[in-house]
Amino acid sequence: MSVSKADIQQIRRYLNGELDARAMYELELRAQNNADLMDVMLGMEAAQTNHQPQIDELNELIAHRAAKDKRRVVPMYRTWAAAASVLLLLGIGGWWLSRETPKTQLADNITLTAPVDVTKTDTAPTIAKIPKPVDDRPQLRAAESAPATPSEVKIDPPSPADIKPDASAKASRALPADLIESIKIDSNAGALAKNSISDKEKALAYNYSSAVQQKAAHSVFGARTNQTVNTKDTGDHRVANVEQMLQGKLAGIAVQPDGAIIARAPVKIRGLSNVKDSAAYKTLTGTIIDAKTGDPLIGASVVSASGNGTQADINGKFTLTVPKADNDLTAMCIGYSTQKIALNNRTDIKFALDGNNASLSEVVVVGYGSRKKNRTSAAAAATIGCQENAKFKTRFFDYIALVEKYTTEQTSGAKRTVTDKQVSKALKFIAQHIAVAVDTNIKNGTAYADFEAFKNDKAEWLKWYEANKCKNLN
Amino acid sequence: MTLFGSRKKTEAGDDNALLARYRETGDLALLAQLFQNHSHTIYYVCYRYLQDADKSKDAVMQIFEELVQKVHKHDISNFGSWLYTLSRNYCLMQLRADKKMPSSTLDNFMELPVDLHLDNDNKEEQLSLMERCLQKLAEAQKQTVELFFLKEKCYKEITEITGFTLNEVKSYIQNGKRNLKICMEKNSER
Repeated sequence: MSVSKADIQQIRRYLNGELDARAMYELELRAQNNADLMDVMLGMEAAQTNHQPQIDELNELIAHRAAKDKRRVVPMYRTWAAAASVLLLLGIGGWWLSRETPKTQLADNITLTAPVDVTKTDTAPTIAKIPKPVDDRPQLRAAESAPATPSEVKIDPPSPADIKPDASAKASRALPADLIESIKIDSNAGALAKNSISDKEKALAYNYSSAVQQKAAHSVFGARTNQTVNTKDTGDHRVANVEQMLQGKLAGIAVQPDGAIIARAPVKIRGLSNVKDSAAYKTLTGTIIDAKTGDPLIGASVVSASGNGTQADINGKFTLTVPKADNDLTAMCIGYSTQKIALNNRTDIKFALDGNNASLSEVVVVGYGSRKKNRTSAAAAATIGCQENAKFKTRFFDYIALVEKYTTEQTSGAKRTVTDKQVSKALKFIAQHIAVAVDTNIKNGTAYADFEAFKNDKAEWLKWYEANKCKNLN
Repeated sequence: MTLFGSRKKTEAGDDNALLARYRETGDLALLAQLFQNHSHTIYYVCYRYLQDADKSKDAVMQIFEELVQKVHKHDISNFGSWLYTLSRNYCLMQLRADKKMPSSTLDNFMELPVDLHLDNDNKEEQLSLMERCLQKLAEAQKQTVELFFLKEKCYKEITEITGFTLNEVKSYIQNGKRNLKICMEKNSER
């Protein structure tokens, strides 16, 4: 029960009137029994012209679509294989990393040489006994490039020459001894202590090989004793070293020849006022409200000429730090017209945005392309685009409520709270606008014969309002 | 007619072959080719319901997407008719979604022919039943149905003979058929 290309041609001929009665009948009969064919006939009839170009376009699109999707044809096992190899690599990496920790145990080394070191008064050989650090460490190179720096930590004998005068040297010599002693007491604890340092060091210099890490740890050990860089006390020796290690790697850090570490100008991060220097920036504050209703516009955006921006908070207020030179400030919000003002040295700005009922055209996104759909909704035109006069509305409805109250009291015999004068005023206002016969000069406490009559009038008034509310009443 | 018949058979065979190959390899190009063989049908079917070239094109592409999903789930014996049903359902859903179902289309909806299993033994009985039901039809319907099915006249000729408009003729035939079917079902239940 399918329609072939030949059928299409036959239908085409049928529609063009090229067939004789018999052929026409036969086609019609087939269509009676074949819903598919019947629909195609009706479709072609409705289409009137030959839509072959459309169909060709469709075929092309389909071919495209199929081609684009070829990547989906990758058999599943490939992805599984890829995933498996990734996991394997991760596993290997993790295992390899976990193998690191045993290597950094220097306890053995230290305790072995410790007794020997304690007797000696020269720290240099002490350190020298420990495997020499390789000279290709950047932090050392940085230090070495500055011969005057005491932060230089050469482990060769010459280094003691750089060490400051005796007093500190003695102290420094004493230090390792003490430390070593404490390590000796409990080799395990010491190992742990050593490891803790080396672990921290590791964390700082993770990209070094394990051997270097050991040595790095040890250089820290040595650095503790020898270094007098202009940092704060002992605690920060490592920090200084870190900075040296990071030199050249982190923007904003520079190591001066004399070892002083200066911070370069910070990377400019927009929107972080606390990073900005107060000399070059100013702080702006303000509020953003709806021009008509006075309501704060929560979440409205405020942007300056330099690109610094922020959003208004729950109260419509905002605070923004901008360069001093900025003079323009723009406030925008969805559904409102954008407003741009010149600051002119003001720092507190109040924006009142006007509603802007710009309609968006509906975009229909189709998988293989997209088209814009122009369609005006009648409902939208009637309600969204209408700006009711709020003042009139409140007055009008208040007056109606007043008359209702009066009539209720009148008909139910309840205590009168609304006076004749008041209801007259209300009815006068209503009558000004609506051509409905109503007595506007109430004197005897009776406005309507009964509540039904009032209800009818009220219905009329409401109907009138709905019909005329967009006409800017006042 | 036999020429048409045999050609259709080979095409159906091709369809099934393509479908089978697609099921094996998962090569979307095969499915695309299969679909392309029918794209003209689907396009015109969609056009018949949606009455708009752009919408029909969109619908065809969407139907292709649905096809890709559904061809794995369903066991398809006759690809052409299955695809046609799929398209028809899609277009009807579209119409419902757009809430633009003009009342005229309801009249023109082709009722999918139900297989009235004609008992060959009771053929005589069936025929006489049909005769009786035919007589019960409204005059215009009776006339058109007779002219079309029994006298084998084409629509054009019927319009000339009866003086009805083409749409009227089609409408009468459709309604007449439906009423006949109802009548025969009702009577065969007895």
